Formats: sequence, C-alpha cells, structure tokens
Amino acid sequence: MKITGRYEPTGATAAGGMGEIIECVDLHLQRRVIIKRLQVGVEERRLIDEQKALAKLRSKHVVQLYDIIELVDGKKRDKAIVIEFIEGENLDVASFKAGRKYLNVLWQIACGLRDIHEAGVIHRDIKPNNIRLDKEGVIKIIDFGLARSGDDAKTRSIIGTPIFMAPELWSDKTVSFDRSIDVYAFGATALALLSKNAPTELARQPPEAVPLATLSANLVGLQSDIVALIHACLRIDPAKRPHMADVQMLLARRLLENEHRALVVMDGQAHSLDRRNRKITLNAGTVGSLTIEYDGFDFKVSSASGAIFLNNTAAQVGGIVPGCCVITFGAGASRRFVTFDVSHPEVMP
Amino acid sequence: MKNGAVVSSRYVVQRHIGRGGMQDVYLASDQLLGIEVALKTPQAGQPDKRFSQSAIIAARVNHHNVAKTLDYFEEDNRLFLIEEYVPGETLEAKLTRFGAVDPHLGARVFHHLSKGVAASHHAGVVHRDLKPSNIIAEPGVNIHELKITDFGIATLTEEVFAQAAKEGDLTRSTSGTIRGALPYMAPEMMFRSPGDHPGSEADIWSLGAMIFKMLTGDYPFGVYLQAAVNVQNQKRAPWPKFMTNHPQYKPLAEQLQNLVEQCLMYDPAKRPSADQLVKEISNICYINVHRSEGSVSNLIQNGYSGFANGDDGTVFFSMESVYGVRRPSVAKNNRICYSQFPGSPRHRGHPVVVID
Repeated sequence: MKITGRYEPTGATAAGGMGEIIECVDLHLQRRVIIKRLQVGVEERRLIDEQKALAKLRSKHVVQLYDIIELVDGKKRDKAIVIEFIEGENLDVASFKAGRKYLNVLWQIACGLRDIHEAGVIHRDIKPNNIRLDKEGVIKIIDFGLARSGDDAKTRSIIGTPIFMAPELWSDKTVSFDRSIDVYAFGATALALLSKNAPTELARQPPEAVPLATLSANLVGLQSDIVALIHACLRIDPAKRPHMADVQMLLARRLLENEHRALVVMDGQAHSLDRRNRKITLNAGTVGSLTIEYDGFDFKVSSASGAIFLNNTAAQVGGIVPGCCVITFGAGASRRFVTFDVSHPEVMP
Repeated sequence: MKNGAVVSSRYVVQRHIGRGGMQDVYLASDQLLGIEVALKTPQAGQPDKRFSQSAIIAARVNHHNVAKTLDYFEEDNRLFLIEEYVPGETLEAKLTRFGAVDPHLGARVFHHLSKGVAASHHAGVVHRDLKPSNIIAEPGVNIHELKITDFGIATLTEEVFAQAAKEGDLTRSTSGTIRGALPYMAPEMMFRSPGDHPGSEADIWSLGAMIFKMLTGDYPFGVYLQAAVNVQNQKRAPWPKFMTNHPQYKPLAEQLQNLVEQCLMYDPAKRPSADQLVKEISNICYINVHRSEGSVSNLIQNGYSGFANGDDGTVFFSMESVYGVRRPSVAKNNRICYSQFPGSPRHRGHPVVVID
C-alpha cells in the first residue's frame, strides 16, 4: 500500500517515541525516507512547528524534514512528517572508550544540541539510542518525539527515559523546565556511552547529586576538565548547568590539544613549534631575548628580558601569545621584527 | 515561470536566480515547511528522462557540503526539482572578488569541498562537472557553508558531451556548457571517445584545478581551446612566486601545491581518491579565524604597514601579511580581507588579501 501515492513502506517498521515510524521508499526520488505519525492535538501542532524551526536552521546534526502528510486509515486521519533516512548506527550504551573518537562524538552531539537550542527547541529525550552516527561520521540527533519548544515547557507527566531524565522532571507537581534538561541528559549520555554502570546517585528516582570523586572513578581515562564539565552538566540545579555552546567549546579545545603549530619567522628563517618541539628562545642580541613554550593548548611567554612587544603590547611572563602576532625587539629604528602565527587542523565531523 | 506561481500547492516562485545550460533555477518559498528552496525545472526541449535521472542521482548524496535534494515531482507535464537553497553566491563570484585566496582560507575550502566530494563518491555519485559556478558559499569573505550543487548535472549534459565527442573534438564545441567546464575538465573527459564514462578521478582533477585557480588567481591550463591544448600537452601554468616568496605562507603553500599537483596528474590512476585527499588535508594546519572586511585608511612607515577600518574596528597590518599580487593602498586596492588578532592600541590583521 502506497502512502499518498508516493511513499511505499519497506516493511521495516519500528515503534519509537510517541508516534509510529514507517520506513518507506520515496518513489519520486527512489530513496528511503522515514514517515513518522504524530498524535492528534496540540502535541501534533507543536511537533510540526518544532520541525519547521529546525528545518530553517539547517544544522548538519539535525535530520532533514521533507514533507508533512496525512495518513488516512478508514476514518482516522493522522498528520505525519516525512524525514530523511539516515544510513548508519544509533549510538550504543558502553560502546566507547575514553579517547579521541569518544571526545569527537561528544563534541558533535554538543554542536547538534547547541543548534537545536538556538532554534528555541528542547529535545527532551537525549540518550544514546536517539543519536545516530551516519556513514560519513556525522552525528545526527534523531527522534524529536518528545521535543517541545521553550515557551511551552510545562508538563505533568513523567516522560523521557530514566537515567537521562533531569531531577526537576521527577516532580509530581506541574513542573517548569528549560533546555537545561537536555544538558543534563547530555551529561548522562556522556557517562552511558562509556559504561553500563551508572553511579547509584544517578539511578535514584529522582536522581541525586553525583560527587565529583565518584564521577571521576566512573570516567577513568578522561581528562579532569572533561570530567568536571560532565559533572557540571549533571548539576541538580538547572541554572548551574552550562550552555551547550560552552560545552562544545571546551570539547573542541580538548580535541585540539597538542595539535597546534606555530610558525616563527625571524630574519627570514622559519622555525616551527608543535607538540614535538615545544620551546623556542628568540635572541635579539643585546636588545633582549624571549622564550615561548607550548603547553598543548596555548603558546605562552616563559621568560622575557629587554624591551619586547607582542602586537605592540609589552611581553609578560605567563602571558598567552596572540594567534597571529608580530614580536618586536627593542624600540626606534633598530627594532627587529619576528612573526608568530598559530594554526591547527580543523576539528570536523 | 512567473513570480508568485504556485507549484505542487506548496512552492511559491519568488524570482529567477539562474540559468544553467539545461535548467532554469528559481528561488521559491516552501509554504508547507516555511523555508526557502531552489526550484529547478528543465528548459524547453530538454529530455525529461535525463532530468529525472539527474534528480535521483543527486538525491543519493547526503552531506552538509552538498546541496540537499528535497523534492521532485511532475505537474502539468512539467518536471520540478526542489533543492536546498543556500543564501549566498557562487564560488566563482567569490574568486573574482578575491583574485587569489590566501593558503589558509584556501586550505579550508579545499578541506570542506574534499569532504563533500568524498561523501558523494561513497554514494557512488560522480559529479563530472565540478567548477566554481557549481559551488555556493554563504555571503561575505568567510567562504563558509560551502555546498556543491548540480550533482547529477552530468546526466543532463551527457548528451551535449556525447554529441560533441562524436563530432570529433569536444574542445571545439560552441556549447556554453562545455566551454564553461573546460578550464576545470579532466583530460579523460576532454578527450573521451563516444561511450567513455570517466569515473570519480575526473572530480579529483576538477577539484585540483579549482584550488589552483583559488590559490593563484589563474586558470591552471587557461580557458576554452587553450585549456584543451595545454592539458593535452601537459603544460600547466607555473605556480606564481608570490605563493612561496614569503616565509609566513611558504610551508602551507607548498603543502597545498603538492596536493593540487597530485590531483592534476594526467593519468587518472595516479590521482589520490577523495578519501585520501580528506585524510591528507585533515592533518594540515591552517589559520581558521573569522575573516573581516575593511577599507585601508592610511599607510605608514613608507608603505611598509598601514591601518584599515572594518566592521570590528580598526586594524593594523603589515605589507608582509599581504598575499597575492595586489598591494593594499588608500586610492587603489582599498578593500581588504583579514583575520583579527589582539594587539595594542590597534588589533592586528593577518592574513591580508585585497578584494574587489
């Protein structure tokens, strides 16, 4: 049976979220699509609005919306959305080891959530199984079945999935919540991707604060700033959880650790600094000398003597050298100039 | 099509935005989803079967550096393809504005385009007509949001090329489609016999040719017939000296030259695959800091350095930072593009490129 004369079910149908999911072939373009039935009522309209808001945003981490159709079944008429079929695998609990690949996936999820929040949408059901890694290595956040927009964030029922559900959602009163429930779920997802055993505090209903030491023990092999970041995401007080844009930035910073390269040109000679060659001392005769060291993230002045300026600001020990700068030794006509340019590979999905 | 025309009870034509050799392109608004889209329809006389095939081919690719195929349908005996609309301009327009693009921005564009091409090749789709006019980028000097469009166009142009090949010399064709493609066209496309179907290596050549044009401001083999002659004689334009005569640009410029040269190997088998290219470029370091535009206000130190006023304030720059043949000055070459770094009392601009 074809749907609207255009979509032919493939038979591979799975239930999920609030709606029903039908995998189809779009006969016009001969490609697979997913049709998702929406529940009648306010929810339906909200979901469609959200999908439209996300379509405007054109995030590479959000599934493309193609069409909104009506599924007719006897007298029953349900709205449904037609979305792109993503070839790939959903993320699995305990399928990662702490390492670069894991950090890249977390970073991409954070980018996707940042985009979603930018569109004013709350996903509401972030968990590994609702995140798909496509064949090109790009993370797609899927199943907005429970997503709701920010200005309508009140609910009476317990929804979502335990462990990933923020504590404020466990209240039996009408609860208000905002996008920080996604931040909480992101924190829980970061844990779940590494291990099946969640800290007991997290498994309580409602969940309780996880001490940093407990979290560290659960996140062996992960850098302490990333552990602290996940800890912050899991804060009981929603207002204390970070924004996804900041989470994204911190993860990107870690992904670039030891990847930078500085090109230093003095008297026409090029020198480079990187993880293998971390330190350089520039001597300008009697004028002075400057030592710069790479700490894996920044290039810092470790010693300076004489009149030395970085982009015309006096060099200070401990100061970070600007990404591109001219180092000036001395003053007046006998000044000597050195250029210092920092570059790095681009972090990409 | 008239502005305001409604297609498929959903797409409202806003205005005509382009005419390829084979199809007309309109900006339309999708009333159902509330987004802007590109609406493409074959020009009169184009065979429908090819248009539908090209749509199906393009729809197989799913990557953010390739414009998405959103919808395809027939209405009143006319075919329509709906594609993701990217507000911006073609890479061709950008290159005209820039002249030569510095290696840092160039590496970034190279990286992103290679990703898009690799994803397409994974899906078994070869573009075969990659050129700057088929690539869209967001407005401004950052060249972000790169999207390759017109995948499947080769299906449309197939007949034109086949006919030209049959007539004996594709390079003498008067077809605008062929003439526009020649500067970026792989030898196996140029000199193919009827029935030949050049593979994914042809896209790698085109990518290399585009990056050559981008970094140097010049076509690697010239234009029109001259391009064909030079390709056949394997006579590529030399790399200009300005790419490497400054030690600040030299290391990166040399890395990129090496990659481009591999892409422009005459023997398709010797070119890297898109995957190999992506792998190489993902290790290359480049300065990827937001680009600003500014106007040169005055030069100091005998023209050795100067100041420019941009959207984010005034910057100081040194002539040493300037890439390309054009030198900034107040009267001529007044507009420049640069990244901004903290400094006192003015921030510093680097790399600097004169733009139109």
